[in-house]
Amino acid sequence: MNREGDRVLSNKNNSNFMIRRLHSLIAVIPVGIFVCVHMLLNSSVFISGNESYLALINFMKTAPFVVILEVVVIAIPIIFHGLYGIYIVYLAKNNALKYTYYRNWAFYLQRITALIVLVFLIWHVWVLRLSTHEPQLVINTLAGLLHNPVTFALYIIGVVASMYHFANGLFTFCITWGICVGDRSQKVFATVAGAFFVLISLFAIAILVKISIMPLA
Amino acid sequence: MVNPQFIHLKVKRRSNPTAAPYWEEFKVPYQPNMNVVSVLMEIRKNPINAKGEKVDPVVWECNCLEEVCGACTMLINGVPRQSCSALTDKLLEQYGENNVITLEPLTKFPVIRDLMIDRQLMFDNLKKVKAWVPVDGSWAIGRGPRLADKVHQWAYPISRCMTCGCCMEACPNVNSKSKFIGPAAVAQVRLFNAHPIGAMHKDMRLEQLVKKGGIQECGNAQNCKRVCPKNINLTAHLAAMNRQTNGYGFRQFLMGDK
Amino acid sequence: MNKGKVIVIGGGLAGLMATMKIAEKQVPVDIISLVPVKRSHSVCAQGGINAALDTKGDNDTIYDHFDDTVYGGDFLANQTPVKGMVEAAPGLIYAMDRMGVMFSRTAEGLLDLRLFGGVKNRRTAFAGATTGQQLLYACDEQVRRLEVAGYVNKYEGWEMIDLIIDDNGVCRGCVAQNLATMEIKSFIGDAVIIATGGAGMIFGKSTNSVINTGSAASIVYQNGVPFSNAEFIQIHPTGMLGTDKTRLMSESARGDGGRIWTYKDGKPWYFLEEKYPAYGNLVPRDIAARAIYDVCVIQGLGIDGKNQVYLDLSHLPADYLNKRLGGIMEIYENFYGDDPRKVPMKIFPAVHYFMGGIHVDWNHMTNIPGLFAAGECDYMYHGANRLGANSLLSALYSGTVAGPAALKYIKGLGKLAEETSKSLGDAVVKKQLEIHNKLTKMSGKENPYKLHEEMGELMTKNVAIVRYNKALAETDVKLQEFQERWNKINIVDSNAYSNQTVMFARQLKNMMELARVITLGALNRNESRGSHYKPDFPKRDDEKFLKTTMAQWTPNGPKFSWEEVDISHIKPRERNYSVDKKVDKEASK
Repeated sequence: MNREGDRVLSNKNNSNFMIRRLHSLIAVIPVGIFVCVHMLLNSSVFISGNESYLALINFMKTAPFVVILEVVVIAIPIIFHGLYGIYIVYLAKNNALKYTYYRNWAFYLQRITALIVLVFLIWHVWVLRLSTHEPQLVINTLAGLLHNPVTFALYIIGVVASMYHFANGLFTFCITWGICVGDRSQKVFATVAGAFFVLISLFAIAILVKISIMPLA
Repeated sequence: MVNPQFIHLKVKRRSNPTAAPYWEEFKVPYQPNMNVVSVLMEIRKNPINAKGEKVDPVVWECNCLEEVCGACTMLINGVPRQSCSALTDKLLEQYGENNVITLEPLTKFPVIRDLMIDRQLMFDNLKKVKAWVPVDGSWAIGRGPRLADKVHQWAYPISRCMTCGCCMEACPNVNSKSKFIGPAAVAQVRLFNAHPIGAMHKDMRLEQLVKKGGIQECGNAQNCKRVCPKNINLTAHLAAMNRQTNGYGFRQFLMGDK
Repeated sequence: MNKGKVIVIGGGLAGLMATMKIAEKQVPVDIISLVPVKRSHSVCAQGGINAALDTKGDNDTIYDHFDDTVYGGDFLANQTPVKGMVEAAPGLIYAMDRMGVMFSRTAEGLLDLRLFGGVKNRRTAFAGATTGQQLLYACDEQVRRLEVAGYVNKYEGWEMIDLIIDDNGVCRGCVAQNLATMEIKSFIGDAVIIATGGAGMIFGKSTNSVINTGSAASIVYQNGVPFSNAEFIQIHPTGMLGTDKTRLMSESARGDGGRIWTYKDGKPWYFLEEKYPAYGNLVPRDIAARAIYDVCVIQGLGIDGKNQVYLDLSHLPADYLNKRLGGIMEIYENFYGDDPRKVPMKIFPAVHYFMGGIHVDWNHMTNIPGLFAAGECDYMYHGANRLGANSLLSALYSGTVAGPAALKYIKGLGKLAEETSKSLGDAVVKKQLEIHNKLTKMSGKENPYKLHEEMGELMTKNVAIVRYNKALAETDVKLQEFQERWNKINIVDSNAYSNQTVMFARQLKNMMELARVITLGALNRNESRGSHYKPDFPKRDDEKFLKTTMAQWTPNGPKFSWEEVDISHIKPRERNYSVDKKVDKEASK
């Protein structure tokens, strides 16, 4: 009997799968890790404000090939994740108002925050990395932004959206990579991700508030 | 206890696949213990709309009326479900005695007429993922393989999937823009990959799951599990298949087709 | 080389099994089915499928299965085909197991078996309480695989409306109509296998699906094939009355420990256990149905004064019930609202299965060469009463007989239909187009759905559990009146696209033909045997009626003749479930 239908065909057609998995993976490694390090470095403002932060930045800048690292480990993954992410956002036909389940809202918010984060990042990187690169100038610019209530609010929105996108993304990452399979593990990890979102958001907001109350240089 | 005079229906109708849709209302004398199917059956016995005009009876699909064939799926007050198990008393209890029960065809499939839709897409997806055990033939060649009761416990519910389309309807990633085959077909792969003979041909199905429109299109909105009339744990099955396809993809990447 | 082609009408278990048998020999098959085959009525079968696997230490044998089936069928079944079926049963179930049917398992991973009615040994393999669904899905999957391989073409959403029979009386295909576009098209083939199931819709409300009108079988009958033993209609003792249908509560509920009772003098009365101590709640269906009817209708002891008694599972542990009977627990909960794990279910007998059907030879071919029938629509395996869990078996088994028989028949053909029958097909299409056009213009005052309801009520009242000759004669007069009234029906739907009313009107006309066969068959048979019960003739009468009823269509109604039953293996003996069945061990050798 002809078993044509059963034959394993050559595996040339999985590029979409591979890209999607890459899209998921790089969001955590290296981008997620970078975000954590970034926040940790920023939290140096709690030690002795401006000075400790500047000292740390200047130290970081002495590392070799810093620009190459920035491009390969940070810029390219983020640009890929962002651009392909727009396509993923486009693919969904959201129905959170019809199916008002918690996970469906989370799914919808993940896409909304994706767009917010994208705009925020362009702004953030342009203002604090591309247009100026002198540490003292950068921190002055940031402090200036955070002293203005409007830009402060925008900044908070951008940062909280980023943290949501990160925390919820971590949860779906665990499903996408087959780590959380059963109901129980999914439930437990959803709670963990929720708590993570709250903590990391508070942490980020605290940093921003701290900078906003530092005297302008 | 609800006891209205009429059951008030509002049906989204369409006289053929290319005609424009329109809404029509019906008032059917109330009887206790009705379901949406029996209300529609009353309409065809006396096809008169709420305005008292003679109209064509509403066309819909139904067959077993026991919620095992999957035919009579439609949107009832916006929720995808079988109209045979949509008891009117319960609907009126839930939405209020004066509720106008709305009936619409599922939106993710082509409409044939009124509430009747064409779900061929779902059967085609079963072809795509090769949802079968490739036995040598149907002849008697002795006892089949043993299967642990424990595996039966979780696999049997997947085999109760009646291809009704509720999960497809609720999934935000199943739409005209995406090619996602949907949760039902993915879960079937887990079923056949669990069967001792089916497992010998795991890769044949996994290969299909990583093609365009495959499992990677799942966005974890998890509506599928919420609307499944058979309570199939689709989200767990999707996650398990994520694990299997990742392993498969990794193996393929490192070792080629071996 | 052209190997010919087979057309299978109906995509339930029998049709799909026949398809599989033919397509795996690389002969192409066209399947014509009203619904996507995965939604066929076979999905409704709940309890299980019988085979003497003898894996539960009950010393079950194939002979026991054979004897139980023949005894249960009150000796009206032809014994040689039944013997073939029970012998093939274990192999069939193992094949289905290999195809991935999720049968329930024992602790060591073998097929678990449960007890069923009319039987003392555990013999019924099952997949929870959705065995029919699981078996059908496995067949559906295998056929889908053959479809991908190019051997099967499915025409889902098509209804067979006529046969193509050439001048030599040989079947060369059929004509079918598309339910959406209403297109009428001929399907030329060398053999046609009818596998269209039962006809519960004739009784209005039954446990059957709405597609089970018997229309296709009626068309075959009207083309000159005898319809046999139509009067034997199985009434399932445990149905649940609804406004749209009577839903089935599987016999497995009793097989797994369920008890039937009602109140008598204020105390629970387990009347089946009292009346039939040997089999208790697991007497065959005809006996249980009559006992419940007697308790409710004659003695007036139904629960709440209504026609209902309790089917009680509430004494069994909930996890045991969920595991073994989850499917029907769900149905009762969803459709009735009560939890059967906590309170007894209310049930009453309901029309369930047609033992009779299209007359075929032992290779499942009809008297029209090239035309076969398999599954519930044939008359072969169940005699006067079918044992529980034998229907899935007979559906599958008859498919495994009819498929290869059709192949063998094609091999013996001189010329293939494709070469000879195109113009024949066109002529039938033309005839049916005219009928269709006439139908669509019918504008009398009878609503076909109301007429159907009336007929169903009449049939259920007079031709179901208990039958009296006077009522049967009146029913036949009424049925002829209905046929007259049919000429004045109104096709209430003016739409030319996907017109369900036109299709239903056609089915209704065909149902009326069969309704008369059932009624007159029952009128003629002045005895009580299996499901056919006449209080005026309470005994079985082998001398006069150990015969197969055969009805031949004529324009003036059915003409009856009788055929001897094959009793070459087991000598008929009295059927009595109050005491243990005595197997004639001498005869079994």
